[in-house]
Formats: sequence, structure tokens, C-alpha cells
Amino acid sequence: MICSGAQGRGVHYLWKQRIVEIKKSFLPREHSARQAVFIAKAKDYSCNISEIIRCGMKELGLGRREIRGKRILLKPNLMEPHAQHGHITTHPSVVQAAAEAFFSLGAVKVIVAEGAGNCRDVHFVLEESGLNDVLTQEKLPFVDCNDAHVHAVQNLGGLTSLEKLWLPQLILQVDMVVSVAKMKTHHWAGVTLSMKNLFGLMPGIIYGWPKNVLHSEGIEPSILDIAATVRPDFAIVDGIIGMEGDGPILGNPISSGVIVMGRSAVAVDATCCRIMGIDPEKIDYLQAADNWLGVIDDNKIKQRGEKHSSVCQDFMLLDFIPSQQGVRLVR
Amino acid sequence: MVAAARRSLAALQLADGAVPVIPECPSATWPTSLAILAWLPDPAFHPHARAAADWMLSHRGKRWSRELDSDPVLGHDPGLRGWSWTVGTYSWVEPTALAMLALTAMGEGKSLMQLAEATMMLLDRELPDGGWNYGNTRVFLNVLLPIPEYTGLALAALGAFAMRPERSIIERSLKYLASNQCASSTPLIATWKAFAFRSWNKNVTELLGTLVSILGYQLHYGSYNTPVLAQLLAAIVTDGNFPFLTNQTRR
Repeated sequence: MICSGAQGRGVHYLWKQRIVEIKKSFLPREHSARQAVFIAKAKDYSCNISEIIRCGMKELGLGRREIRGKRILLKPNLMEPHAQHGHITTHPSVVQAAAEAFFSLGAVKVIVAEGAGNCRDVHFVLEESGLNDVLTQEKLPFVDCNDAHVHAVQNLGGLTSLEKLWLPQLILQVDMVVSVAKMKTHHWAGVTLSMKNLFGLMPGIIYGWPKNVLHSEGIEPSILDIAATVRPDFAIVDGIIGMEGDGPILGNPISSGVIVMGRSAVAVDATCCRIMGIDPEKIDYLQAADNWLGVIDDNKIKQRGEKHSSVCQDFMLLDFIPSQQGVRLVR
Repeated sequence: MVAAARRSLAALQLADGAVPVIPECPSATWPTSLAILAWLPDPAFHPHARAAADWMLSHRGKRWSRELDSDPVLGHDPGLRGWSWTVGTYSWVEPTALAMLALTAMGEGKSLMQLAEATMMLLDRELPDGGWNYGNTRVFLNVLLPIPEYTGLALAALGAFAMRPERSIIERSLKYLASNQCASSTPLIATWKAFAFRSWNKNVTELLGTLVSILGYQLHYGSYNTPVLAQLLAAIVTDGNFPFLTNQTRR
């Protein structure tokens, strides 16, 4: 659709047929070692988020041996920040805490990178989101993916008509890509979590503001193509205050009080859905990713930390939004 | 240095007149209007500018008819065309505003109809309480939020066109841009606020001082990249008078 919206109406269902073909020819990897998801309670942004993330990393087997000397890219969701609407974007405290956690395990460099989907003015994005203070305080470099040096790579998903995807060269210069997303409902895709967050890596100078080329190709196949190509190494979702209803911009804040993380963005997003009272099998792009880019079956995801059933809280869904119809999790 | 920059833009220009952001991605054509603005002050580059303008007139954004009853999702009219960021996609506020500024600077004879439709498109995308964002007004039931930079761009573009709308139509957007919501002094907000205010005859004296101060903020933000710095300097050296950039007026 125009975008976010209607441009792709009625045109993009071929990707679902393609998914069937991919899964027929795809030999599922042994996902089990990478499908653990850690859930932690975090009442508000004043709690020790860094300690929570370190604890989660330990539970997930992400330790000093793996992180020491590595260059880490943290990708928050800053798609359209407005100072009075902090629930739109990843809270700066979560970015700060993630950086501290990776440094504590010996990371040699942590870079924050984002290409805001709806704002070209990167200084506005950093000021309105509150991230500028964190970057200054922690001396963290920031890269505007919208305006970065770019290179083309083969589209490893193959669900859109795009043979190549343009990515910031920065992707080649880091060892780990970490999606630091916000827990939100989304009026086109159902939910926006760590996979959808990767849209922000795509450079605006190539795809426009909003990333209209990707919207024209279809949001869901684009999410899958980007995730299949970038393959994020780790995912952290800021669900301390999430967004329900008409996300990703105009929904209401909801104090869900959780941080969710894992090595598999697919498993993390499926778990977040369950926390939000949403059935991940009814979110088209997650169902498509299942047994290809990860798993969404609750029985195949090893839960660490809190049980999702102990922190779940139904996010409001709106009956006039097609992507939110009939997706409520039946418990 | 400026002549060399103009030559490098000319080297980027495709045979059909478009100027892509990089040669390897010929569909990302949004810099075409910026190239026109860069070429116009030097008559030696006018053939490049003319070819670019002709390309723009034949490559506007995609559109489709609005069927009010069957499509309650969008608040705006997708049948009105401006310009897109990339070939074959939809019209958005910034590329439309930049195209309007470039084509207006070229002289409006050949582009009058397209500029008139772009004016209608921008007015259709204006938010009910004033201001613009990237280009959506309402999606489903909720009205979206304005963003200062896009508001400045749209106002500057509308103000530059000879057949500009009545001031009363855009007054709410001028008020939004002058409000505390747009107080953030980023280079792009201040630049486009200055161009917008000047084009609608609002006092910019204080703002011009702010623009100079913002040059010094690089200690806080780090060095501005070339496009941001270029826009800021353009606003400073012209006192916010956009047409002066292309010798359309004297300061």
C-alpha cells in the first residue's frame, strides 16, 4: 500500500506461493541451539537494563569468548520520533544498556545505526528520540543508514522482484548486527518487532522516505527478503513500554514491562507476539519465516527467564485494521 | 570548485536527462531537481538543466483513482501527482517540493500544468491542524503527525510558484512552523524554516542569526555532511531568499 499503503494492493500475493516453493526445497537447519529466547521483567526505564541484558546474554550462551574484540552494530527503531510520543521509538536507555552490555563482554566497538523511515533530518531524529544525549555521554558513533555509503548484495530472500538489495557498507565492517526493536502493533504488518525493524537499515537515498520501493514491493515480502539477506545475529526488543492499537505511530502506549532477546529474530518476534496476546502463526510474515529463517512454534522455542504466559498482556487490536483482524492468541 | 561540481553532476546525468544518486542505481532519480538548481546559475550548463527538466515533466509520481467509498484507508487523494523519490513509485512531499522549486527556477512556461497539479497535491497532503510530514495525512482513522523539515520544504515550494495559494490556506502551517513544536534548531529545520518564512514574507531577522549559530553547533553534533552544510550555507548567504540561489532575483 502507499505506505505505507495501498500501492501494493492485490499485487503481491505471489510471494506466498514462492514461500511454499522455498520451504519445499529448503532443508531445515538444526535450529534448536539458536532458538532460545530470554524474557525479563523490567518495570520501567529506571531499572538496571544493562544488567538485565547481560543476564539474558549469559542465559543465551552469548559470552566473552564470542564477543571479545568484535564490532557490534546496534539498530534501534527510530522510524519517526516525536518527543511527546516516546512509545514510537526504542528508548535510549535500552540502546545505552545494550552498548554497555556488549562492551562489558569485550566488544571493541559499538556503533549505533539507523535510517529513519519517515524523517530525513537525522539531527531531528536524534534530538526528538533522546538518543543524542546517550551517544554523547557514551561516546558512541552513530551512522545514518539513509545517507551512508551503500553497496548492493544479492537478495537472498527472493520474494520481491528486487534482485539486489542496497545496504550500508557499514554492514560489511561489523561482526554482529543487533536489532534493538520496539514492541508495537503495526497497521500494515500486524506487528513490528526485530525483523520489521531491519527496514531501517535500508538507505533512504536509494529507497526514499518512507522506504517506498519496499512498500511498493510489499511490506511482508520485503521484511522477509531483508531478514534473509541481513540475518541479524541478535535481537533485543524494548517492551518496557510498547505500543498497541494503531501502530507504528499513532497507537497508545502500553506498559508491558518486558525485555525480550535471543539469537533468532524469528523466535524472538514469535515470543513477543505471544506476550502481546497475538498468535504468531496468524502474522503472515512470521508464518512465512517459520522453518526457513527460524521457528515460531512455541514447542520449538526454549524459553529462558520469565515464561511468556507470566508476562503476557493483550495489546489492543483494532477491528477496522485488516492486518489485526483474527490474530488474537487463543489461550 | 563549483564548476567542477557542476561538471561532475553533468557526468552523472543519464542519456534521458535524469540524474541518479549513484550510477549503479539509475532508478533513484531524486537528485535531478537538485542538479537543475546547481546548473542554472551557469549558462554553460543550461542544456543539462533543460534535459533534466524535460525528464522530470515526463516522469512524475505514480497515481491511481481514489474511490472514496471503497478505500477509506487513506486521507489524501492518490490521483494527484507530484514527484517521487525513485522511478515508478508514489509522489511524496520532499521530492515534489524540490521539483517545484527547480521547475519554477527554470521558468514556468512548459511546466505550468504540472506545477499546478503539484500545488494541489501538496495542499491535499497538508495536515488538518497545519504542517506536513513525508506525505500521508490520515491512515485508517488517525491523523498523522507533522514534521518541521517537510513543512518548511512544502511552504517554500508553494511560496515560490507564481500561482501560489492564498496565504489563508497555508496560514495554519506557517503557525505550526513558528510554534514551539518546531523550535528544535537542526540545520535542516532552520534552513527550510528560513526559506519558507521568507517566501511568505514573514520576518526572518532572528532566524538568520540562528542559522549562523547552527554552523557552530558542529561541535555538538559533529561535522555536518556536505548536503546538510550546503543547504545551511545556502540559506545563510541568501538571507533565506531561495530564488536568489538561481539568480531569479536580486537580494
